[in-house]
Amino acid sequence: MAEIEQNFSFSQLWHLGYPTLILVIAAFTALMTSIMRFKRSFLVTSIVSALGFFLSALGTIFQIKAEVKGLFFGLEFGLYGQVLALIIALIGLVVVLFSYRYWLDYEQEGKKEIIPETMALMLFSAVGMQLMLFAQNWIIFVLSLEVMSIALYILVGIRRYQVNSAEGALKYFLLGSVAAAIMLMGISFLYGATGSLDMMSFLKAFSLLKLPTYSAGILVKAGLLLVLIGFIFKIAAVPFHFWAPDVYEAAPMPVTGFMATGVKVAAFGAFFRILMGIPYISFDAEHNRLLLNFLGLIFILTVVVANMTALRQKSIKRVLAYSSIAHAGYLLLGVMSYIKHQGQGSSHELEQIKTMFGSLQSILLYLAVYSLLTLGAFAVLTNLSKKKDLENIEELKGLAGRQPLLAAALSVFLFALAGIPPLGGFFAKYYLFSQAIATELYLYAVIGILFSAVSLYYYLAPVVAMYFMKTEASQEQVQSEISTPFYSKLLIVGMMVLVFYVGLFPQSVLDLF
Amino acid sequence: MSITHYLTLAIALFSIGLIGVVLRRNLLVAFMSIELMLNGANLSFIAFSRYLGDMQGQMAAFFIVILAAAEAAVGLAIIVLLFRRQGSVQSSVFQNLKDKVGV
Repeated sequence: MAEIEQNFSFSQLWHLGYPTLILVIAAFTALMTSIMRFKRSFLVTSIVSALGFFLSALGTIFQIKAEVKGLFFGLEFGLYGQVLALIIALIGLVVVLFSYRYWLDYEQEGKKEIIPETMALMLFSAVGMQLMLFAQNWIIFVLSLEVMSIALYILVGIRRYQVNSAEGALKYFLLGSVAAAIMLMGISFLYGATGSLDMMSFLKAFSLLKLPTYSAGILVKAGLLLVLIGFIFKIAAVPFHFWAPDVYEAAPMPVTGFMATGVKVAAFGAFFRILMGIPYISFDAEHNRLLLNFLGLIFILTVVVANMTALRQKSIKRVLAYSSIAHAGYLLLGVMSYIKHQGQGSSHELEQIKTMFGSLQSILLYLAVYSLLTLGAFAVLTNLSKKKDLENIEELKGLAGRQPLLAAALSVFLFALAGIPPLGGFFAKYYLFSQAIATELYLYAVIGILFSAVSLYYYLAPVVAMYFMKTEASQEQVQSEISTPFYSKLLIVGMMVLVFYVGLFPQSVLDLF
Repeated sequence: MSITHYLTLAIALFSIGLIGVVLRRNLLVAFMSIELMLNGANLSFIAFSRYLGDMQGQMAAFFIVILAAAEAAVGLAIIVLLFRRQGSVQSSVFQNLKDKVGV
C-alpha cells in the first residue's frame, strides 16, 4: 500500500489538517484551564473554546479557498470533508456562545455540579467528528467515531446529581458501544473479503459479489449488512432510533443541540462519503437495486415512524428528537437519488455528472440548513432553561406575551423545520425532493412529502402554545426567562436572518458549495 | 485448523455477547457482554490477518484493545454513578426515560 511508504512529516500534517489540530490544542488548553479552577476559570475556558472553534472554522475557510487537498496516513483531506468540517466548527462555536450562560447558572447555584470540562469535552467530540469526515481508513474511522462518542457519553451524563441524566448516559453508552462492536465485526468481515482496511473496501465488496467464482458471498453480505446497521444506529434512523429520544431528553439542553446537529452531520457525512465512490466502481444493476431497496425500506420506516410518534409527544425535547430522526430519513432520500444516477444509462455522461452533482449539493445544503434550524431552536430553548431544563410544551404557554423575541424566533425555526416557504427549510426540502423526482424515485418522494406535511402538526403545537394559550406563569418561571443576555439575543436574531436569507436567495447559497 | 474454525469461534463470541446485552438484566454483565463482542471482532481481525498474510488486521486488533479500555473507563464510571444514585445495577430500575404521550 502506498500509505506505508509515506514518511511522517509534521509540517505536512499541519498544512493539511491545521483546523482540526487547532481544535486539539484548544481542547487541551480548555482542559487545563478548567482543571485549575481559579477565579473566573470557566470564563477563560469558554473563551478558549470559542476561540478554538472560531479559528478552526476560519482555517477551514482558508483551506477551501486555497483548495488544499492531499492524503496523510489514512486521512484524505478534500473539499467534501472540509465543507462539513466547517459546518461542525460553526456548530461548536454557536453552542459554546449560547450555552455559556446556561452552565454559569449551574455554577452560581453553588451545587459544585458545574463541570467546567464540558467545553473541553465538546472540543474533543468535535475533533472526532472532523476526523470522521476525513477518514479514509476503517481504523481511523472507528477511532474517531469513538473519540466523538466517548466524549458525548460523558456530556450526556454531566449533570451527575440527576438520576435521569445518568440513565440517559447509560443508555447511550450501552447502545453506542453495541453499535460500534457490530460495526467492527462488519469491518473485519469486509477486511477478510477484500484484504484491505481502506474504506473503499465497502464498495469493493459489492463488486466482489458478482464474480462467479467467488465463494465467500455470505461473508461479504454479512459484512455489508453489519456496517450498514452500525451507520443506521449512528444517524438514528428507524429501526435503530430508539435510543435517540431518551438520550436527547436526558442530556442538558445545549448538549442535546450539539448532539442533534454535530453527530448527525458527522455520521451522515461519513456514511455518504463511503457511498460517494459508487460511480467509480463497476457496479451491476442488481446490486445497485439491492442497496436502493434497502435504503428505501429504511427511509419509509424512518419517515413514517418518526413523524407518527412525534405527534403524540408532550416533551419538547422528544419532539425535536423525533424531528431529527425524520430529517435523517429525508437525507436518506437524497442519498438514494445519488445512488440512482449510477443505475441510469451512461448515454448522457455529462448530464449524469451534472445531476449527480445536484444530488450532492442538495444533501450538503440540507445538512447545513437542518443544523442551522435545529441549533436555532435549541438556542432559544437553552435561553428559556435556567436552573431546570424546559420539559413540556405546556411550559411555553403565553411566552409570546412575556418574551416576544424568543417566541418569534422559536416559531421561525419550527416553521422552517416544517418546510414552510419562504423560510430556509422549504428550499432545502424542495431541492432534495426535486432531485428525488428527477431520478424517478416517485413513490419515495410522495411518501416523504406526505409525511413532511404530517410533521406540520407537531411543529405547530409549540407555536400554538406560545401565541394562543394564556396562563399565569409562576414567579419562578418568569424569573428564569427574564435574563437572556444581549449577545444571546444577537446570536438568535442573526440565525433568524440567515434562515430568511437562505429562503429568499437560495441561489446565492448554492453557489457557495 | 482452517480459517473457518477461527471465524466460527469469533462469530460465536460475538453472538453470545450480543445475546447477553439484550437479555441480561445486570448492567455489569451487559457491559462484559460488550467486551465479548469486541473480542469476537478482534479474533476475526487476527484470523483474517494471518490468513491474508497482511499486518493491518493485527494493527486493528491493537487499536480495538485500546478502544475497549477507553470504553471501560467511561462505562464503569457511569455504572458506579448509577449505583450511587439508585443502589442497584439491575437495568429494570432505570426506566424513567420513556415516551410521555399526551393527546
